[in-house]
Amino acid sequence: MSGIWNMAQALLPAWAQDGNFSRYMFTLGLAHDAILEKAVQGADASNPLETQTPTSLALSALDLLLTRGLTESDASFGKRLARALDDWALAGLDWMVLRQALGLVLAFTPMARTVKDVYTAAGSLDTSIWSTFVASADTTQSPARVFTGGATSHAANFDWDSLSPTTNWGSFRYWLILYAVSGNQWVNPAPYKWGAAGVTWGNWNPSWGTDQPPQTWSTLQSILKLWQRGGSWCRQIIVSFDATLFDPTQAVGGAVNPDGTFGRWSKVVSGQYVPARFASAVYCDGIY
Amino acid sequence: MPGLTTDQLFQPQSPDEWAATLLANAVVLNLPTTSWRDGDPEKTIFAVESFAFSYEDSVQSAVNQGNFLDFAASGTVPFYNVDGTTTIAPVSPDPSIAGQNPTSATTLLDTLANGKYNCFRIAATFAAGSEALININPTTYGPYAPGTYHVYNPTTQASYSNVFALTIPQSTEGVSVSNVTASSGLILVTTSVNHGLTTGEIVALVGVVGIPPLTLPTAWTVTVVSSTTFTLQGSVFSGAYAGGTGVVWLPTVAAFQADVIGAGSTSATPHTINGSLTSLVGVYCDNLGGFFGTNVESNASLANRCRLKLQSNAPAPPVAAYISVALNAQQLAPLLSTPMTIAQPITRVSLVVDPLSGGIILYCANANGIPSAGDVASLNAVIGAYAEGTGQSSIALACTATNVAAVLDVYLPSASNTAANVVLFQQALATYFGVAPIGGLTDPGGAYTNVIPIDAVLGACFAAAQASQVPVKQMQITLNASFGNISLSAEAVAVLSPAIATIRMHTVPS
Repeated sequence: MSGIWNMAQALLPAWAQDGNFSRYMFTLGLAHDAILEKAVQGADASNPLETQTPTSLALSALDLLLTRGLTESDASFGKRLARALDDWALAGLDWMVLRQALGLVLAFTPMARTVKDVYTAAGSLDTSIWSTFVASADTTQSPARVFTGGATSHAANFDWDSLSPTTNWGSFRYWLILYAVSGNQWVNPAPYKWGAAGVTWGNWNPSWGTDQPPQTWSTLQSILKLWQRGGSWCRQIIVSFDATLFDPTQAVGGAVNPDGTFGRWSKVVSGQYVPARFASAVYCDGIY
Repeated sequence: MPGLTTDQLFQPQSPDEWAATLLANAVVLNLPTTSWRDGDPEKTIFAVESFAFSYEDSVQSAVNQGNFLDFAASGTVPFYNVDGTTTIAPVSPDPSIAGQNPTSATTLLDTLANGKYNCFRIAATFAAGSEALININPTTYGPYAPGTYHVYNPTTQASYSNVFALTIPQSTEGVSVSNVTASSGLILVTTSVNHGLTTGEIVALVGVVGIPPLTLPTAWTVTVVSSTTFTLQGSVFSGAYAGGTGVVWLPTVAAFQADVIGAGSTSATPHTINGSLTSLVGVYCDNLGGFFGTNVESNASLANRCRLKLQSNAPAPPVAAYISVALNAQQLAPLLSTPMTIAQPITRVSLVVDPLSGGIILYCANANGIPSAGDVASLNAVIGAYAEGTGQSSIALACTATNVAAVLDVYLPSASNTAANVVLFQQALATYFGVAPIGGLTDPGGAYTNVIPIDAVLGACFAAAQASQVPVKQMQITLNASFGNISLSAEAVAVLSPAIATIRMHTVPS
């Protein structure tokens, strides 16, 4: 397109090509061009891949129900928004729960996993199903899946609390595990721990046990509520500061995977209360 | 040109600002602007063009806003008039707001919703139902062409007319009534001889004395108890029968609908449309069941459904998919392999996940409150077909009703103390309760939980007065004879009862 002014100039007779008349027409032509430019940019603004109007990304995000990452760039968020309809077509899958949760911490590209258990008809723990994105994974591709059991093998390796459908806890539970280890350290464990000097209830920022504000966890919860399968329950959001914990290739317990006592904060060993869960991880309530 | 911000894309410059821009550019181009005088062609053209540019700018700003749901639904744009006034125009005139878009013309929001989300606005429907016509004269009236025989509701003044061509022959006179008593709360009619009726037949009772529900000639569907007794379905017995009064007639039953589209004051409960506008000697009328229309969907509701729809196309759908499918169930039901129907669109849904079973429970309501059992059955079929994932269980249940009797006192000048304004406030209250969410409102700050806030109800009445420029001096309302909020359970919806609120108009000096 040549613009209104160029068009007008081509139409002007020779006597009007120079001088005040030409310049007068030029001022009007500029204004016409400004309106046209506004129209073009207005159309572009709804295209998240066009970052000329970055403030419109927030509006596209509202329309497409995506949450911007903690330190996500315009270009990165624009690309995720452009894929939003494809993502929504897969909503409810473990893949999308992981992809959207990782979207919040995208700039750090940590490893992330979901794990859920399958039970026998009698209510016994049967199989654990793990889905994993390794650090820096392309989350537009599906995550790696590991089945620890199956029709003939009973090898569940994630036993949170030894509860089963027969004791009212169904197989609709799952856990989200986000890793925060060197190289992908999006959250740090110190120093806000129970008992630390000067830390009391009501000291809400940062949150207990991490240097992230509470909003990070509530945002994660809202992302999960939006993207998880209807009726499923994220039992816990676990942030592990140790890459070796929660390993689909390892057996239940063994100081790597939960051993059936993680449902409470503590357990009794030799008559003493001791922590039930791994100390090098923090545990946030999930959501249903 | 550098990238514009959304503020710049969404809001226009005024004519003065455009004039300043033109002048500044002219100065930069070394035009002799200081020698231009008012009325000179140069200044005159700039002045005219400034208004033209501002107008184009306003239109373009509206179009730009129309690309995003929230702005398309509720954004506004100023238009600067030549008389110096400014008109604030909605980006998408809302057809559910009186006076904004009375013809439901397609808006930018509709374009966005239809084209991007394949989501269409729920149209208004006429309140419609069956009207019984009792002709005790030995004369056949009619035929009346569709829309030419009129009846009305004396309380609301809403009028209704025949949907199809109508002829009213003399009704068949049946047997005499010998007694009227109560049977499990229903009205039990005893006839002097065998009545010859079968269950489901429609009769009219004329001339019964002492039983208030039968004071006027009324029509009922009967349940036969014996050869000489039957009960009236949906009746509530009261009074004491005066012996020897009343005759059973077999009326003409015809389809009628409101003369004005939409719900509002045209919805009617049974036995309230009993006034004849087309006045014929010896002809009485009565509506057997309720007449319920649908208001056109609001911008906010349409935008909400668009977002929800994003989540309804997945194989393992999130919870919002269930809500989306429920709100679109009326359109989806006819597409089932065994087509079904939903008479009144589901407009309100509350979803609960059972933490013990993972099952999903959807409490649903329509604009009039509790949906019919048939509509709920169809809704369950639609959800099973379109929302429920493999291995998932869900059930849709009708919400429960919490009846709310609203009494509004309005103080206003005598010129505004009109029947039309009574209807205006009746309609405002009907509209508010027609969209109030299941479980009511909960204040995020914790001030209240699951209530219908009385201030919000009063606010809706004030808003209606303001929109129609009714100069109200003061207004107060009671809900269930109290000035407090109405508490609801989480699965309950507030229903106006009586459906037409009591409006008391008080004249005060202007």
